Amino acid sequence: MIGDHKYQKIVYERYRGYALKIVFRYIYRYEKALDIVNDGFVKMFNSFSKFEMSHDTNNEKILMGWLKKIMINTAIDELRKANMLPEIGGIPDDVWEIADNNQDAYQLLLYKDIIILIKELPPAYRAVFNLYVIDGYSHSEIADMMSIAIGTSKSNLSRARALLQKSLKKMEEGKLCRI
Amino acid sequence: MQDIENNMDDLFRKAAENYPLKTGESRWDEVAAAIPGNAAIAAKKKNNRRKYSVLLLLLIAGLLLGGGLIINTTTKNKITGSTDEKSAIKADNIPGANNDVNYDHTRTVEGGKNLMKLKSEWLDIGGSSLMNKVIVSTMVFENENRKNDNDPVLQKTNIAENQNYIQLITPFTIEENDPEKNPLANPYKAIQNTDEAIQNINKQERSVDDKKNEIHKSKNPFQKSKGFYFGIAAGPSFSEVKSQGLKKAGIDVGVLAGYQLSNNFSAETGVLFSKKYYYSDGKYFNMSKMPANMQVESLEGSSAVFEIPVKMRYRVTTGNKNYLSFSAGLSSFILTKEKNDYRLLVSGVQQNMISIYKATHSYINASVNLSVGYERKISKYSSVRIEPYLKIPLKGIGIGSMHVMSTGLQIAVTRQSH
Repeated sequence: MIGDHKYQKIVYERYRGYALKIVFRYIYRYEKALDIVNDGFVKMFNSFSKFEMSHDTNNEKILMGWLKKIMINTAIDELRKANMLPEIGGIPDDVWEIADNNQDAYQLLLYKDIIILIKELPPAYRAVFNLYVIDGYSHSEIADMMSIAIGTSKSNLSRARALLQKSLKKMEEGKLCRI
Repeated sequence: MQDIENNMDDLFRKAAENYPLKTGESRWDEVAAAIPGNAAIAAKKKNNRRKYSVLLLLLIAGLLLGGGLIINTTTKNKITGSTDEKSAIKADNIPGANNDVNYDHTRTVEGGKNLMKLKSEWLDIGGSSLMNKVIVSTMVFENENRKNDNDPVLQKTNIAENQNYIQLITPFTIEENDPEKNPLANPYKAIQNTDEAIQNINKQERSVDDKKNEIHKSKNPFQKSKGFYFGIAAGPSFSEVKSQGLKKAGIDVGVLAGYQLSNNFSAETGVLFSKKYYYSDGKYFNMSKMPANMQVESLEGSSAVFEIPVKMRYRVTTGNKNYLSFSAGLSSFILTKEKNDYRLLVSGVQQNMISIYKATHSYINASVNLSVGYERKISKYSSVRIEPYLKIPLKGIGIGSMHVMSTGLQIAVTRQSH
């Protein structure tokens, strides 16, 4: 059914936000992230015959997992194409969703700041941190995906954590100072 | 340290899941265009849609055409009241058919003032297909919406189980209810063969047609286009020689006879006695028959002639009983008497002389006869006409061979033979 053109669009519209959040953690530029998301969906629809429906009713979770895997691989491929070179420039403010609810606004701002900290990591560190901490890949899987050694993966992760701790500390000190 | 890392990892995971990010506008078109299978699928779908549309149109056309064919076929196959067993479909051969109202084509029942006959026919609708269901459902619908008693009625109870046949009961009404005139009027007189009834109806229709034809003929005055006619004619006439002026009115009176060749054309002749009066200068008088020493200066003459006209008439209808006619022909004269009052020069001496000539002379095709007339029917076979005319001389008549031109008005009454 998903092979039908009509249902592909439904899938795309429903999960493109989810896919963008995944890719934007890996890809620094917003516009580039959008392209990567589209590429990922194309890959997914082209290879949908490989998707096996399970007998239970949890097919959406399986589909989302499969989609996540495709998006991550597409993002990693893009980073490898760019040779893991660091990006230049800041992230524009208009890419962020503004929360209406005041209660959630602080929380969301915090989350936004944390993601910015991740994005500001060097691409290699950023990728490993995302793959290991957030997306749950093992170092061996990361090594295969990024064509690096397992030790490199561990090393990159350690360095990523160190940078993030430092950044978090600065961020907290900055807030304390404002208070 | 590990706890801090774990706490930090949890924080980052929560941030990754919940951070606020705009998704932007949908770019589905780009995705769709990039999927290789979609173009082929869309084209295939378009083709399929076209195919389905064409098939649907063909199916609808087929239903309509087939329905029409079947209805026409069933119309042709209708039993026309004859007991032609070859054409009739016997209910005995139809599985599931109700044999109560069946092969007995006619069943006379009473209904009000008129008698109603029922004509039974079995229609072969060829199997239980969608077409049959359409036909059956249509006829059932008509069954329930019959506007008058003469509409066919479908006996649902007689539909065969396999719906290969349906029985159509068609009532028709006999107007005459007088048993003397219509043997079918007696409800107790069972008629097994409807041929007799239909023959009676046909006879009645023929007589009605004959009457209609008669009425039609009588309404048209010119319906009887061919035949002889006779009449009498009379009227004043005026004559002159070489446009020298008219003197006094003469008279024409006589009989006419003609033959109507068609509605428009007729040939006519007659015999008219005509008295002509004229004046002429002596230069138009032929002296070859006069004494040599005599010179005619002028004369006033009169002639009694029998004119025999032969002409063709053409008439056009201008109203219910009126028509306009045009005629052209030639007139011959038989001169019986001529009287001339001369003014003479005899050996140079002027004198008057009256001469009467009673010798009979004939002048064949002496003048061209032209006329335009108005005719009106005064009865079924009679008509009256008024016809101004002009007779142009082709030959001279009388002792002096004078070219006498005549004009006048002819009033005639004619009657057609019947």
